[in-house]
Amino acid sequence: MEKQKTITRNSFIHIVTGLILGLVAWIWIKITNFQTEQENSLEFRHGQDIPMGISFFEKYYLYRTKNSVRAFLTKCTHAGCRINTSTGSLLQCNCHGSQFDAETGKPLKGPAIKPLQEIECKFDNATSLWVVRLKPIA
Amino acid sequence: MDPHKLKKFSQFDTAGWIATSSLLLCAISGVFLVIPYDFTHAHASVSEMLLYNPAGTLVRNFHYWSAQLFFIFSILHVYDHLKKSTETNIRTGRTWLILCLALVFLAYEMISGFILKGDAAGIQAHRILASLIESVPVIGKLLSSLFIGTGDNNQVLYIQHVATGTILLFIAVFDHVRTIWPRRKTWIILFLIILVISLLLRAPLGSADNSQVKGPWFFVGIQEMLHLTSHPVIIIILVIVFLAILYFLPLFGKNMCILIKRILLAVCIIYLIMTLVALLFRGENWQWKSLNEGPLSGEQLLIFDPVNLFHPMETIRVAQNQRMESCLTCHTSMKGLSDSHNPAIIGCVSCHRGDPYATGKSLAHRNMILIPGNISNMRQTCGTQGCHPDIANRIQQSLMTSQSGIIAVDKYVFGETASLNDTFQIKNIGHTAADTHLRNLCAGCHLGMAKIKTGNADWLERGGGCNACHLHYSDEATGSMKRMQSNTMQKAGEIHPTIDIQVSNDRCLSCHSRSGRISLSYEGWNETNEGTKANSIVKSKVLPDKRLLEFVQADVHHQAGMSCIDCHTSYDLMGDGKHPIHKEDAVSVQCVDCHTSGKVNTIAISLLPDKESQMVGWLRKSDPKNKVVLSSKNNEPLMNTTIDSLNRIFLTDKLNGKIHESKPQALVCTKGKGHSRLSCEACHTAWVPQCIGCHNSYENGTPGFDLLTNKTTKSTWVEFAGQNLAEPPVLGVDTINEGKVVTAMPGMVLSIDQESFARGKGKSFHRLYAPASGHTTQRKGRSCISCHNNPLAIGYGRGVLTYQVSGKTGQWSFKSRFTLNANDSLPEDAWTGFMKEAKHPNSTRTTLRPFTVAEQKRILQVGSCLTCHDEKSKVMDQCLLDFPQALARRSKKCIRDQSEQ
Repeated sequence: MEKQKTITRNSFIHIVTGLILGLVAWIWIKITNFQTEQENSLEFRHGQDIPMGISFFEKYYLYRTKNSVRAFLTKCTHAGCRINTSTGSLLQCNCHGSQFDAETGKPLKGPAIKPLQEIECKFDNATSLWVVRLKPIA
Repeated sequence: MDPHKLKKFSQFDTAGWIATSSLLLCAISGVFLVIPYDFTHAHASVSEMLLYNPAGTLVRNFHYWSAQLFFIFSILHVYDHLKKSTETNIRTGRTWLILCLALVFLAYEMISGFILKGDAAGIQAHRILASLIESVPVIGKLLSSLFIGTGDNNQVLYIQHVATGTILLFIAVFDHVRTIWPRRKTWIILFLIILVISLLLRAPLGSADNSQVKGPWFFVGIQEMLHLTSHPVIIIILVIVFLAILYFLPLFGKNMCILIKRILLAVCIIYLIMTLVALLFRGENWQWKSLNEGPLSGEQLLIFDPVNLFHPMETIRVAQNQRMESCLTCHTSMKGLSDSHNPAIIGCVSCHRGDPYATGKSLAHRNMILIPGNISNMRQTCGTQGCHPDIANRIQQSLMTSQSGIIAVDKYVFGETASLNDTFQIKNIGHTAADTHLRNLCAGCHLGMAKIKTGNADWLERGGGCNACHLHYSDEATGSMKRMQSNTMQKAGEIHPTIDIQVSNDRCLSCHSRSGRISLSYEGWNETNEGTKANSIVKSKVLPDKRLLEFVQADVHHQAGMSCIDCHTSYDLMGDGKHPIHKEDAVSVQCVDCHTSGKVNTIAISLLPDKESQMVGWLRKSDPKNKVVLSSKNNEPLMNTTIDSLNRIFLTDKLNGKIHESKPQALVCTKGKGHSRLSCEACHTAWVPQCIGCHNSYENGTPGFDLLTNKTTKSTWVEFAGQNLAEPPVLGVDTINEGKVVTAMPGMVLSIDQESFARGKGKSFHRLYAPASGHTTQRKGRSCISCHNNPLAIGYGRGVLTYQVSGKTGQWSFKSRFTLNANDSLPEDAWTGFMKEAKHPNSTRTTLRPFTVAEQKRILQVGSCLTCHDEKSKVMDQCLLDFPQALARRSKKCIRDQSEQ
C-alpha cells in the first residue's frame, strides 16, 4: 500500500516563505526591467544644426562628420564613468584615464578595452530631425 | 597630572565601543541633516548649507567626522580581534556571517555618503559603484537597481543610506554584543571630540562639474586598482574572496589561521600603499603628478574652516551666482566680464581657484590665483578640462611660447648646433654662450613670462600666457583694481577687466617691435639708429623704451583699418599643435586666400570641424549659414570672411566691424610666364627694416639683465648695431616652395667675439639673410627697374649698377657703396657677390638662398632691355608674356649682352 505523503507545519512555512521570497524577487525583476526599458525607449530629437565634431548631451554624444551623424553613450566601457570632455576628437575619461576616438568610439588608451556603445541615431524625414534612442546598436 | 591616569583616560574605551558610539552619533546627526539636505539637488543644497547655514554646516561636519571615526575604529576593532584570535568567541555562525556582511554595509554606507554630496567626484563614484555591482554575474543588475537605483537619480541610494544600511549596521552591532548603547562616558567624550573637530574642520565638497575626479580617501586604492585593470569584475572577485576567507577563518587550524591573517595583513598594507600613492601622486585624468602640483579641487581631507554659529543672519548675503560660491557674497555684482566668462555662470573659482565655500576673506582666498592665465597656472585655470584644454596643449608648442626658431638660429651662429631646424623651448635653455646671449637680449619675449602685476601690461612687461592677448583693463576696471588694492572696495558695482578675443594691435607691439619689427612696419614706422635725434622734417615718435621711430609708409591693410588679428587666426597665434620650426611654418594665412582670381576654398560655419572655430563663430555672432574662406596652406577657416553668391570675398574687421571687399589679383600678376615664380610679397612689399651688420661681445663686469629669470647679472652680452635703413626688400629664392622668388632681409649679419665669453672660442662672422615678412604691403607692385636694375634687390647691396655699352654689346658692372668686409670680401650690406655664387651658409633657413649666377644673368638681361625700353612699352609687355620669344624677335639695333657673345 502506498505511503501517504504528509507536509509538516515547518516545511509548509518554508514553502510559503520561499514562495513569498520568489514573488518579491519576481516583482523586483519586473520593476527593474520596466525602469530599464522605459529609459531605453526615450527619444531625443535634434535639429539639422548639429555642429561638426562632438556635441555632448549627458548620457550620449553626437559625432557629426560631413556625411553622417553617429551617437554613442558617454558611459565609459571600463567602469561606467561619464565622459564629458574631449580634446579635438579625443575623448578622455577622467576617472581612470581611458581615452577613446570620438568618431568611432574605439578605445585608444586603457584601461578600457571595449569601444563606446553606439546607439540608435536616425534622420526622420517627416520632421527633418535627428532622432536618438538610448537603444544599443548591436 | 599623573601620566598613568592620563594614559588611562586617553584609552577611555575599546575600538569597538568607540566605533559604536560614533555610529550612534552619526545616525543622530544624520536625522538633523535631513532638514537642510535635498537629494534631488544634492550639490546645491550642500553648497547652500556651507555658504548660508552655519548650524547646518556644523551638523554636516559632525555627520562626516563621526562617520570617519566609525569607519576607522571599526577597522581597528576587526584588527584587534583578529590579532587576539578572539573571532572564535563569536557565539554562532549566523552572527559571524552578519559581521562579515556588516563590513560590506560599512563600505556601502561610507561610499553612499560620499556620493550623496553630489559633487563631480560623487556623481562619478555613483556610476562606478553601479557599474561594479552590475558586473556581478546573474544578479548584478538586480543588486544595482536595489542599492544604487537606475539612472543618475539619488533616490534609492538615499533611502538605502539612511534606512537599510544604518539599520543593518545596528543589527550587526546588536547581534554580537546584545546592545547598541555604549557607556555614557564613552559617547560623551566622543561627542565632545567630534564637536571640536566639526567646529574647526569642514567636511570636503568639490565642485559640481569639476573634471578632476578622485574618490573618497578610503577608496582611492580601489580607484588605483581599477586604473590598473581592464576588467573591473576582478575587484568584485577580490572583495568576495576577501570576505569568504574572513567568513571561513574560524574553521581553519591555528597555524593555518595565523598564515592567512598574515597574508590578509600584507594585502591590507599593499592597499594602504596604493591609497597613499593615489592620494599624493595622481592628478587630472588619473595621470601622474608631482607633489608640487597641489591637491585637486575637493580632495583635501583636512580643511580648516571654523564654523561661526553666532554669525548674524542679517549680514549673510545670497550670492548672485548660479555656482554657489562664496566669492560673490563680498564681490557683489562684479561686472565687466564678457558673456563667455560671466561670473554668474562660470563662477570665480573656475579661474581664480581659492576656497568657494569659506565665508571669511583669508580662508576664501586660500590657494587663490590672483592672476590666472599664466602658462605656469594654465592647467589649473584657463586650460582645465572643462574650459580650454586643447589650447593649453597647443600653446606649449607655439613659437610665441617656445621661441624655438630664434633659439635655433642663435645657437647656429654661435656654433652650438649644426642644424637650423632643431626645436627648442626657451624655458629650458642653459648658460652656454648662445643661451646667455639669448638671456641678455631676447628671452623676455615669450608667453611663458609670468604676469605678476595686475593692471594693463607696461611696455616692458611681456608674456603673461593668455593675459598677453586676452586681458583688457578699461579705465573703470583699473579704478576698481586700485580700490581693491587699497581696501576701499565698493559693496557693489566693481568692474572686472574683460577677457575676450578683441585683441588690439598694441598687444603685439611690445614684442613685435623687435627683431623683424613687423608691428612697427605695419603701422609705417621704422626704428632709427641709436642716438638719432628727431627732426622736424620727418614725422617721428618715441617709444616708451626711448627708441626713436620715423614714419615711412604704412601697410595698405593698416590704412584700411585692419588689425593684426584680421589676418592672423587663433591657430596662427596659439599654435596648431604641431612643432613649427620657424615663423613661416606657424603662419597659415596667405595673400591668395583673400586676393585670388581662382576658385575660393570655403566652408559653411555650421560645418566647421573644430570646436575652436565654432566657438569663435558663436562669439562673433556669425550666421551659421555663412561661408568662410579656408586658408590655402592648411585649410584653417578665416572666421571674419564671407562669400557672397557672386563668389566675392568680404572681410569684416574684428575690432571695428568695417567690411572690406577683397579684390582679386590684378591681371598683371598672372600674365605670361615671366613672373610665374614671383610671390605676392616680392612685388607688393614697400620696404623692410634693414641693418648693416652688428657686432656682439660679452662684457665682463658690465651689469646686465637675465630676461628669462628677471634677475640682474654681473656681466652681459652687448650688441653694437650698425645702420638701420627702411628700403625695399632684397629678393631671393625659396627652394622648396616651387622655387618662388621671395623677399629677404639681413637676419644675422654679424660678428661675434666669443673669446670674450670663453677663452679659446675665438671670433666668428656670419652673413645670413632671413625671410622677410615685411607687413608693408603696397597696392601697386614694384616697378620693373626696381628689381631688374637694382643691386639691392638682386642681393649685391647698395651701390651703382651700370650697363656699359660699347658698340653693339653691353656689359653690367657694379660699384659698391660700402667697403668690403675682411671676413668674406663682400660689401658690408651684400647677400651675394656681383656675378658670384653665394657661399654656404648664407641664410637663416636651409630653404632660402640668394640668386645664382645664372639667375642673376637672366634678371640683368631683362634689366638691360629696360635701359632702353620703358617698362610700360609693348616690348616689355611681350617680354613679360614670353621672354625667350621676345629675345628671338630683337631687332638689329638692340644691344646684346656681352655674356651672349
